[in-house]
Parts: sequence; C-alpha cells; structure tokens
Amino acid sequence: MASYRPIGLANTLYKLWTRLITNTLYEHAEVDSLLSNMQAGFRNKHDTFQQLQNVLMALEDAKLYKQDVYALIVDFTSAFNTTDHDKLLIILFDLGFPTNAIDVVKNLYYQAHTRIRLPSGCTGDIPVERGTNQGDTLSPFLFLIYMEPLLRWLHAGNRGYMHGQQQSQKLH
Amino acid sequence: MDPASNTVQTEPSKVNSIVENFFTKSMESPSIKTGNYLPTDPDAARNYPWTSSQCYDRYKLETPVTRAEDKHQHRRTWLHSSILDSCNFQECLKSPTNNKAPGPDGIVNELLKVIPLENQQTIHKLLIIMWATGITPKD
Repeated sequence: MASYRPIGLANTLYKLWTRLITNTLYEHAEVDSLLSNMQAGFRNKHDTFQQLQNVLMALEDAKLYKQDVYALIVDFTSAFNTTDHDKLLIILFDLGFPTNAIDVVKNLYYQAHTRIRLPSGCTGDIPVERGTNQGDTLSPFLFLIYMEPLLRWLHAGNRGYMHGQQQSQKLH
Repeated sequence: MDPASNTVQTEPSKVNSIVENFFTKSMESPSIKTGNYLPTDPDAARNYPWTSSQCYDRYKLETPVTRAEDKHQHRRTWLHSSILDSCNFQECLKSPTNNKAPGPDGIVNELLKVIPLENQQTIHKLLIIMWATGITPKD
C-alpha cells in the first residue's frame, strides 16, 4: 500500500489557470530575486550538477585544509501534503509578493473540496484544509516559498562550512 | 598623417616608421608591468556583496522588494501586465501534455489546443476577470 499514491484529476480550465498564475509568479520571483540562490529545485537554469559540484568542492576543500565537514541529508516525506495554508500566505507577503496575487492563491485553496473516485462511483465532497494539490503546476512553487525561511535560517550568521578558512583568517 | 607632429607624410619609409611607432605606443599601455589594469589595492577587490554590511538580514525574510518598500521608494507591482499578455497565455495553452486522464468535467487537454482563436480570447478574458477579482469559481 505504501507504494501506491493517488493522482489528482483537475478540470482543464483549472490547470490552465494555475499554469498562468505559476508562470507569472515565477517570473516575478526571478526578476526581483525573491528566492535564495542556494535553492535549485523546480527552477529554471538551476540543476543538480551545480549543487553536486558545490558539495564536491566543499569536500575537497576540507581535505586540503584538514577541516571537518558534516553533511545532513534530509528526505522530506509528504512535502506537498503537509504545507499549512496560513503560514504559506504569511511567507508570501513577507517575501514581497503583490497582495492581489496572494489573494488569488488564497482563494484557490479557500474552501477547496475533493472527491475520491471509486469503482462504485464518486464520494461526497471532502474539505481540504492543508497541503497543495497533487500534480498541480503551482505546488512546486508554493513548496519553494514554504522552504524559504528554513534556507535563510540555515545561512544566517555566516555559519556553515567556510571555503579555505585558513586563508580567510589571514586576510581579515 | 603623423599624429605626433600633425603633418602629412608621403615618403614610404617614414610612413612605415610612423605606423610602427603608433602601434608600439598603443600596445604599451595595457602592459602588465605598468599595472594600469590591475587593482592597486588588493583588498579592495574582496568587497563581495555578501561580506558588506548592506547584506540583508536573512532571519527577517527581507528581499529587494521589501527593502525598497521600507524606504518608501517602491510600491508592490500588481503583475497585471504579464496576465494581460496574450503571448504568455498562448504559452500556457500549449503547455499541457497529451494523453492525460480528464478531470470531473471530462474535457481532455487536447481540446484546448484545437479550439478557435475567438474562444481562446474568451477564455483569456475570463482568466483576466478571475485575476482582477481574485476569485476562483467553484467547479
């Protein structure tokens, strides 16, 4: 049962609508650089190779300067299903997204319902109170927004591994 | 034409020397020994944006937009123009993949790509109204 997952079926017009919102918000986020540079998921012109190269460079650097380096690898289980809508909207506002766009996203998930299609017919309306739509083009973007505070917290205060620390200590 | 003495020369041997002088002078300036193109202060080149004090506080979720807003220099954009752009809409029309199961209304993705232009514009107007009001209709 664990290897099964539901697929979300939405109306075609709804897909078109969310696609238009997604393209607009992505464009706005990239032009005004609202997302962190270290985030490479679900973005154009960012790929895994850059991130892998960063990791390899950190490892080689640590070997060269004989420093300790630690890696934490996290697998976000059910990442899309557990996002809280209110927190998401607050983060959207704090990042400087336009208020009318936030209204649109809010109304997309306000009093949303879903149905489960069974061989014996459809069930009644089931309210959706958290999580983003599965298979929706807007969901990866909203997950990026949701991850943004964590990324900034991780990078705040110049913690983390410093490349070539012995050299930089001499300079400063 | 001699650039040094500002006179016209026609004798071939002198012309050659003038041209040679001109090019050797022009090639002298970017030489590495004179250091015209190297930073005089090596520490000045290390003022990266992330080391300067203008780097924004990452705890506060600050972005260029909110920083400009705090200084009352900038108001948030409404993004109307990218929604109104019919080019963006056409891209969205062509993007859905074929051979997917339809939703509750039973309209497949292939149908969007074959409807005539007037109906596409009608759908675009509907989406603009949805953006302006911020309301997504149920069903």
